[in-house]
Amino acid sequence: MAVSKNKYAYAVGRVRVLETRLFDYGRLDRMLEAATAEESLKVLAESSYGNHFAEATGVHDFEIILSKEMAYVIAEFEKMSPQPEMVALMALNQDFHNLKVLFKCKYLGRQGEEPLLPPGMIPLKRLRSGVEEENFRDLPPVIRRAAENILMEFALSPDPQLIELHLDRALFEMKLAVAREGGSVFLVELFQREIDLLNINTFLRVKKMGRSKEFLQLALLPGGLLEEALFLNLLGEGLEGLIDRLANSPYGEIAAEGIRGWMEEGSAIRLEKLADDYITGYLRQRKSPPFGLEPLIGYLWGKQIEIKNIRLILVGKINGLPVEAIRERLRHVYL
Amino acid sequence: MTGSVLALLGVALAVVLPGIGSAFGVGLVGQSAAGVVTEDPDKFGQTLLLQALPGTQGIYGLLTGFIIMLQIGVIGGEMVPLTPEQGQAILMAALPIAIVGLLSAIYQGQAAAAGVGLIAKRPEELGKAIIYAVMVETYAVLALLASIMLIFGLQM
Amino acid sequence: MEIRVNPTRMELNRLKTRLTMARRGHKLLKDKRDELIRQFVILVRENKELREQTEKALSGAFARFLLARAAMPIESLENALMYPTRRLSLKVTRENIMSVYAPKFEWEETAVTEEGGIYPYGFVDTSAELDSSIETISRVMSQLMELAEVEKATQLLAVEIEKTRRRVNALEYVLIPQMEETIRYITMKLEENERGALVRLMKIKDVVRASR
Repeated sequence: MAVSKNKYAYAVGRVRVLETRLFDYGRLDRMLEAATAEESLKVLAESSYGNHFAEATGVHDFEIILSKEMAYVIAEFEKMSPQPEMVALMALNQDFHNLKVLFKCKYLGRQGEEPLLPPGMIPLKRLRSGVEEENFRDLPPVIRRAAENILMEFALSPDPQLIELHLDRALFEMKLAVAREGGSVFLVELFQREIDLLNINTFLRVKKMGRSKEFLQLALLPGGLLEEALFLNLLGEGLEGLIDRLANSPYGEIAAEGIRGWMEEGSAIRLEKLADDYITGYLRQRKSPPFGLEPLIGYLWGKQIEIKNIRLILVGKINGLPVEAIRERLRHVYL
Repeated sequence: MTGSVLALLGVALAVVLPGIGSAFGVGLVGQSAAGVVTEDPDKFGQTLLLQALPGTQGIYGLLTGFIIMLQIGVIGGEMVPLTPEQGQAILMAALPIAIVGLLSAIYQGQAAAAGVGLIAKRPEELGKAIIYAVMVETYAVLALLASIMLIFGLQM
Repeated sequence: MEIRVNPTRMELNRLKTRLTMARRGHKLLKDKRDELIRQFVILVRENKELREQTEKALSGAFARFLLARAAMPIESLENALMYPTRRLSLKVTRENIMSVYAPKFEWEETAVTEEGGIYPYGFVDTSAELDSSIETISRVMSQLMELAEVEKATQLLAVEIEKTRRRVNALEYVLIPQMEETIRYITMKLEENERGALVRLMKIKDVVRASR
């Protein structure tokens, strides 16, 4: 059911102020140019992240700070949005991450110390009891189907990648389904673009791994704007073909530049950065309406990118990576 | 139906429709402003200014209604007996501000709410935010003008 | 140097046999030492080459791994790698190099599934940089095992060379000179005794002749 856009007036008002507090290039630069990781962290402490420093004891705890901040932002947005489930979609990947971890722990017989993320839309308890009892009736049908497939296939061939691939597909299937149900054409189109960009990257990776067409079929996410057949047919051919085929798609430019980078340097740094930047740009163009979901989703994406950048800088600083190597990986900011 | 009832219907429409529009517009801007002030309480004064803008249509409507009432003598004297034709004419004269007032208040509310978003980011651009919203006002003023000219032009 | 032996002919004979044996042993040990050193040099060269290769590959893989880690939350990385797709079974036997028992590894890598790849994770949450570091590390695995083998053998050989060298030196500079000294002493002693006996006989002869 669609909700009148005017209901978003309050939330958008708040987002407009919050947007101004996202890290700009200047602040990222200050973190990057700091002499030590501790100094970088100080820049972080001066911002909204400062609220979560009590839980961290040292530089190496920065992941706690980042995940607390994201969880806080999502919770605030769910409270102020007229359609909280649309906001929660931006954290749905965390539920699927948890589901993956729970499945693997179950099969490994491992207990305690699970690398879980804060829950997004689905309470962790429900996921846990579902996996433990192999009964997924309480979970959304998309998850139930994927989980039952995993149970069946893992019994035949215990490949952990199967768990991942099935759940990745289910994640995007569910994202699209919830967005459609909520009547948000904007979100559907956004997720389709995300799917396409991930599929381009997946195609390159699968091709490099030398896997079969059947495997690629399973690894590609359905529901994007680009047909899966396009990738399947190109698996045996050179990458120039892919560049040509994508030339007329919305991703023509980034595909050309990213795939060239992949061919020349054998790394996906450029492509992955360009893909993130593409989504950032896409959302930035759509954030101006004073009412509606767009500015909220845009901000949440912007925040996720900001956290990605901060993590890059801090990991780089802690491990003494060269500033240039970090800088070339930094994503555009959403401002 | 007598002319007087039609004229009073005109008064009601002139007051009610722009009033609804203004209430909606002001409410909308208020929500946006509340959002901004939640994060940045210093912006209260600026947002209040923008919030007031869609309120004018309601005043125009009331003004039109008032003039009609004066003309037909509801206020200050004997009520002039009106023929159905006269009543219809007054009703027609009230329509411009009634309709344009309703819609322009809503649209102005949206423009002003967008302006609230603008000053959330650039408080120094308050003037421009107001100008954008005030542009909508033009059409409410034109409609008001048309209504008043019509009313005064009618011979009672 | 004090020599405490009975200067008897029997002792001299015994010593002489021991000396020949010591000389032969010295020569054998010296040959063994030379051969050990030759083997050692070969191994060290092999070791150096292997180590350089592996270190280069590994440092590249680690750098990429670090960047992959920087591109995703730590929980994603842990999830990606928590379930291994490969099992390694290792059998250790011994190989005799010049009576040094160096370990010999035999290993077998088995996949948990027949058709599965080496990558235990999906593509959505992970960066492609992780692929290349995992690929390198899995390729370097067999090199690492070889390196461990060669390095251990080199270590054991070095110990053996040191031991042999000490034995050669002990023979060459202590035992053999000592025995030669003792032999000379006994020979001298015996000759002196002989001379003494001769003099005594001559003296007795004189006395006998005079008393006649």
